[in-house]
Amino acid sequence: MFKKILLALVFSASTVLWSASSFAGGHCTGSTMNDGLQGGKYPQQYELSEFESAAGCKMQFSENPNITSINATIQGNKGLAAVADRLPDEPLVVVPYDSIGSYGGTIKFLSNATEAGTSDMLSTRHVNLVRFADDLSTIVPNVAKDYEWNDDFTTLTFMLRKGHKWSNGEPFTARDVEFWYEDLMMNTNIREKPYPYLLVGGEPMTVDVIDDTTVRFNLPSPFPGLLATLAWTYNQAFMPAHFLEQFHPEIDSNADANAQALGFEDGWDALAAYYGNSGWTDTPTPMLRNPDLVAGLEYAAYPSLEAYMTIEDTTEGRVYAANPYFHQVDTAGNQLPYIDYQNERYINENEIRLLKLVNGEVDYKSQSVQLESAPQLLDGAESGGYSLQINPGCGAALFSFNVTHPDLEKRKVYSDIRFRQAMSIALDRNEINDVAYYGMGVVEQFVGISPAPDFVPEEIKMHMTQYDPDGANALLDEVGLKDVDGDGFRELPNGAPFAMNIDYATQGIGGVEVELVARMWNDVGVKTNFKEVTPDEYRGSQSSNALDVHAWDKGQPLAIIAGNPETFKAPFGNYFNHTQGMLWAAYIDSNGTDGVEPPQWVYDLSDGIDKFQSYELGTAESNEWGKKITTMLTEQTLLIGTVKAPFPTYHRNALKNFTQFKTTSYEYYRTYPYLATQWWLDE
Amino acid sequence: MEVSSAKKEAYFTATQMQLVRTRFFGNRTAMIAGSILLFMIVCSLFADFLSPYDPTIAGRDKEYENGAPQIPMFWDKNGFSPRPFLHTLTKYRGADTNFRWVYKIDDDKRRYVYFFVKGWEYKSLDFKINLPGKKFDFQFPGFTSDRHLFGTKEGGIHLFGTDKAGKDLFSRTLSAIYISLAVGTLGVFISFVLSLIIGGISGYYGGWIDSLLQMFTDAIRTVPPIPLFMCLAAFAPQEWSSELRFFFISCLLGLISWPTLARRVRTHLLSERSQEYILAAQMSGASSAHIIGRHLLPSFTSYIIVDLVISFPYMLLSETALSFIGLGLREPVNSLGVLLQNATKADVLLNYQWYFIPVFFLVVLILSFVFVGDGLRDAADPHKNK
Amino acid sequence: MINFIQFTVTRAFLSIVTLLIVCFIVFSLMELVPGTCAERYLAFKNTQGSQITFEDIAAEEKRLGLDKPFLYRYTKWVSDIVIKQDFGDSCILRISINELLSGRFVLSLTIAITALLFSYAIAIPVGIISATTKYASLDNALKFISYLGIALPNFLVALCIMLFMTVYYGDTMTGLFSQEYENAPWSTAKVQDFLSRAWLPIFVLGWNATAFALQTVRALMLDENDKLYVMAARARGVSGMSLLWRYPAKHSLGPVINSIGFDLNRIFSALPVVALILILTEAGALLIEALARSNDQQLAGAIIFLLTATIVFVNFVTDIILAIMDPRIRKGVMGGS
Repeated sequence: MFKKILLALVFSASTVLWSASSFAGGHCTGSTMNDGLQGGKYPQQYELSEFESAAGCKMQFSENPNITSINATIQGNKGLAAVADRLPDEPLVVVPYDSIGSYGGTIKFLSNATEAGTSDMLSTRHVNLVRFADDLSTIVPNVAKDYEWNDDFTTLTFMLRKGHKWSNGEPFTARDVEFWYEDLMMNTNIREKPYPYLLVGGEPMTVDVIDDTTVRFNLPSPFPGLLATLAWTYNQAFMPAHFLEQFHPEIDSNADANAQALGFEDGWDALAAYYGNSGWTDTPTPMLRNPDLVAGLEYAAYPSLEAYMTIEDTTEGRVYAANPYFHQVDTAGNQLPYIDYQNERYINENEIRLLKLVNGEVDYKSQSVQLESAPQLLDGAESGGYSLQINPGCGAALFSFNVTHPDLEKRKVYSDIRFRQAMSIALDRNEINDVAYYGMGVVEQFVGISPAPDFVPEEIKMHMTQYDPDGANALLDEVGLKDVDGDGFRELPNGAPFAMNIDYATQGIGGVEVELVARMWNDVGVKTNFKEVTPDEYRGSQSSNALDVHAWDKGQPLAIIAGNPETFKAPFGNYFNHTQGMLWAAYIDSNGTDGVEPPQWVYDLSDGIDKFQSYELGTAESNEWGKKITTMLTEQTLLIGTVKAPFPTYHRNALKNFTQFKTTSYEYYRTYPYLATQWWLDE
Repeated sequence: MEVSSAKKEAYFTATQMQLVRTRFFGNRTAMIAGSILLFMIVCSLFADFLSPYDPTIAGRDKEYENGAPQIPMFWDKNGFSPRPFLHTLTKYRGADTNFRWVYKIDDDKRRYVYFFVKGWEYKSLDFKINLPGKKFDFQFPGFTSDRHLFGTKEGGIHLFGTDKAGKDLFSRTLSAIYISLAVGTLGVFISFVLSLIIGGISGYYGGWIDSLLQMFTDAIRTVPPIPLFMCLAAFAPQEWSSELRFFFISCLLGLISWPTLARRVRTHLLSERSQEYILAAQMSGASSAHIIGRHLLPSFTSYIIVDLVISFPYMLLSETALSFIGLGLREPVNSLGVLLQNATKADVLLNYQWYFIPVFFLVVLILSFVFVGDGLRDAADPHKNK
Repeated sequence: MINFIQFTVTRAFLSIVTLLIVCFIVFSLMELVPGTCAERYLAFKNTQGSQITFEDIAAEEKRLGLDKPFLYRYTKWVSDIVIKQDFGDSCILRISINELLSGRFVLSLTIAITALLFSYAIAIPVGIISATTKYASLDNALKFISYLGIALPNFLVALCIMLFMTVYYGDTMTGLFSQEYENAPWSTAKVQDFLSRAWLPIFVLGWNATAFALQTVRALMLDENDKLYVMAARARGVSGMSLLWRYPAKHSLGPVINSIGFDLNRIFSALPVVALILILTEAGALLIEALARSNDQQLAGAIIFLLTATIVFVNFVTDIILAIMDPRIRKGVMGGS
């Protein structure tokens, strides 16, 4: 309430200031946030009518002079109409941070490999119904024009934009949202097990098309976190029904024939080839997956609403072209994005990536850049022409032991809470902070929500973080790990030799920390080796239950946990990040026919998070449940945190309209809150 | 040329070994290389005594991480001192140093270097072979000592600098030379034994045994060695102790390199076995083993020795390459390859160049082996008419 | 003539047998790596929301034919390669290996062969000079430089040069092509681009190979130079270049040709690590990734097989050439051992 009054005051004040400052009656000239422009109903943006009435000018649209040649690179696109016809009737007016940009250029990115280390880049062209503003607490519309909850958080209605078109010029309507949820996300042929964050208390929602520009989500029970989910998730809440329906066997009776005519096995295969059966938008397009079929296809990649379209997809990298039908404009009426192309290269070697960064060969990167590389990057900042921000993150390095390990002896050990406690107190977190993070971090245990909210008791935040190698040794003796052959390392309780391997990928955790942790565990007699592997290899092994130790950073803030129960339900994560207890998850999902039965606390925790998500954040019930679930999780010491440290963000100085990130994290979807679509290259 | 008859006498009645030795000693390059090699070997055998710090992580100096080499001096602005000394350092790090450790020198506070100091404890000549199965375990207690050649009372003395964790590079280089030499020796020995057996059988019996073994040998020779190494090295289970891994890597090295020597042995045997003296031995009823061992093999001992010495550097290089990739030896057993792993970052090249010092030692080691091998080969070659 | 054909056929047969033995070794090694393709593949499917049960893994194993006995799978692998030229799919990358390797292996071959030619181009004249020069210091200097080529680990040389160029010239010397030419069809411009980057691995590998070849040439020249027939020719008045060329050099060539196969072997051995460091998009770097990082047995096996097959083939060809050139060799082999 108070926030709304404040916003209104700020709005009027800034409008007065701004109207008084610079405009020539008639066309709108561009003003920026630097000029004091704060936004309309939502910060940093206006709806068109809102803007025109506030500014008292008429918006005239202009486009990228290269747009015709850009359009020609997108397979399947026809000729272009005038820009005013390509934009929705009411485009989103985005207020640039510093300056109105100039069109042109190619922005250069680095990722690790196909589908590895790419979310940074994905976020720069990402769009969804809503988004987090850069204060990371206000949720603003993006593709949607506006949204509305009912009183008890059981229906969420979105108003879409009239005249909004897909990247191929076809109309975007509410049907596309329904198609995405009901025909793709909830269809077991596409996804056998739906994403947990799209279910409410484990139950699916329904989506209704009210009219072309109004769509409604009906929730089986109150779930205020849904809006936040749609703001941070990589999963875009719409798919081109007009194009994909023809391959969907449950919608189109000719689906299989349509697919086979193009060379696919059947309709499902065609859908998989285009959509990748995943909410991620970096799954291989037919250009990579079925290159021999591409020439005969109408589209090489499915039409999208994003700022950029994939036009090239190989194992070396991808190239993207600006979307001629993108729905955002700046305050002077220029259609966004400013930059013509994006060029993303894959390099799996950390050292080489660093070299390229130091040399200024990349325009932006934060994912997979670990703090331990900061000195090197800072050294070269001036000559390389780039800047390094060091921002707090959300996640932190995390270790856990495979409690469902295939070797039964090891499984017994890892499942023993005393073992996990011992390994936690065997770590000298201050030393880790000092050596790996240059003293810039904070020693903290992982409580499930990161940063830890106020309702988490202090003793839980610091649970088992003391450095106590004697205590660790005592606990390990209790567990039965004794050194029988006198070689300085403990054997398993049954006498067999015991060694743990930490496989890690630099995308998920820094090598320096892993080395330190391995040494500290060796010091208490638990033989630990470590090896760097690719992210693909790590994820594959983690998912096939093959690892001893899981190591990947993790940590979602409160706003995300309100919508995503992942961290509190087995396997406590997803394929792409840190999971644990794979066989427990298998048991629960298969209703007891497969996997290993989890202990009771796993069920209690799962119920707890459902309860927590049914209350609005900040209420007394919400806080109480939050305290319960974080305490439950932390006391199990299943996921062992070490130090919460900041993360670097790199960008070249020639990349303009780049603002200070509030956090460098995956959780709010990287660059998405910071308006990457208004970046431009000054060269 | 007038040569005393005594010398001529000596030349014509000398045994082969004496001839080889004389020729070798006359070769100046080989002698220089040989003495360098000997020096390095002796240093590595006394590595623990010569190292002021434990080469593993336990010996790290927390106060001097990524520190430059410290050379003791005899003379500074405060005057001359017969006992060498170093200045005191304090470490500092902050945003202004880009979070790198920077060391402020206090040149008024001296730290003297003492000799035969007490330091970390080490054992010499202790063997603890921990093979799978209790029966094969073998232990010899050895001597414990804690005396070192030099050291300081406060602070550290790091002649080659330190690495990121503060481990002393000088100590690590010495122990790395020892490990690399040990791995190489073991590998050469295994290779030697294998090639003798296989080459010997092949050459002595000839016929279809020979053809079969030759095909097998050739097949192994055709596969590029390093990829084959990597394949095999990837199998070492992680439960193995570092000593076992060491043993395993040496075995691998030996296994991959026996074909060349085996072929040599076999060719020589093939030509020798039709000689008359062999025929004579056979007719007197000597067994095959006797003939091979007593007559054939000694006839080309010099070749064997030369080949072994020449193959040594390749063992070293292969082990270095393997450890560099991460498939060879690992901490805490450190070889030259393991040391090189840390030297491969751009950061190091720009800021911590002393990480490359072990490379220098590796190169010198290999070059000396090569020159000594060359010298031996020249000395043992009967066709040389110098 | 009949003799010659007989010789060729015998040699070919022996080569094939060698290749089969190598196949067997490589395949057995592939088998020994723990973890199966089935698990990996299904782990990937997990990202697509599928539930994976143990039955799924068993079913996938059946589909990939992993439950059949060793011999059956071995024969199938070999016959797939020989008849269909199909290496199967990579476990980790989930792409057909043929597609992955086809361009890359050609690049590896090009680099290796160029390095080899480069090394001979230097080793032969320099070896002759070194052997026949009057100046001992020149001889020693050349020997030293060539030995340095063996002693310096080539991956380190590659790394240092690359880092040096990057830091001081601001140009990361990685990759075989600049971006524009990566997927473009071959043209003179592309070749130029390739050479402008490939010179580094060629130089590094070549230096190493030059050292060996130099030693061989030099030793042979020294040996031949002392032989009687050379003395006789000199006595007859032949001198200078023609003395060098018509007599000892020609005979030294034989053993050099003989060693081509093994020189190539050494280059192939050194190539992967160098390529890894320089991020060359060719087969060697892929091999190390497959072995050391991602445990991709299919890919590793395929690459090792290709490398070895090349060497076997080269050995075969050089044997034939030698036999044509040198009747002693022919007699030696044909006359039985």
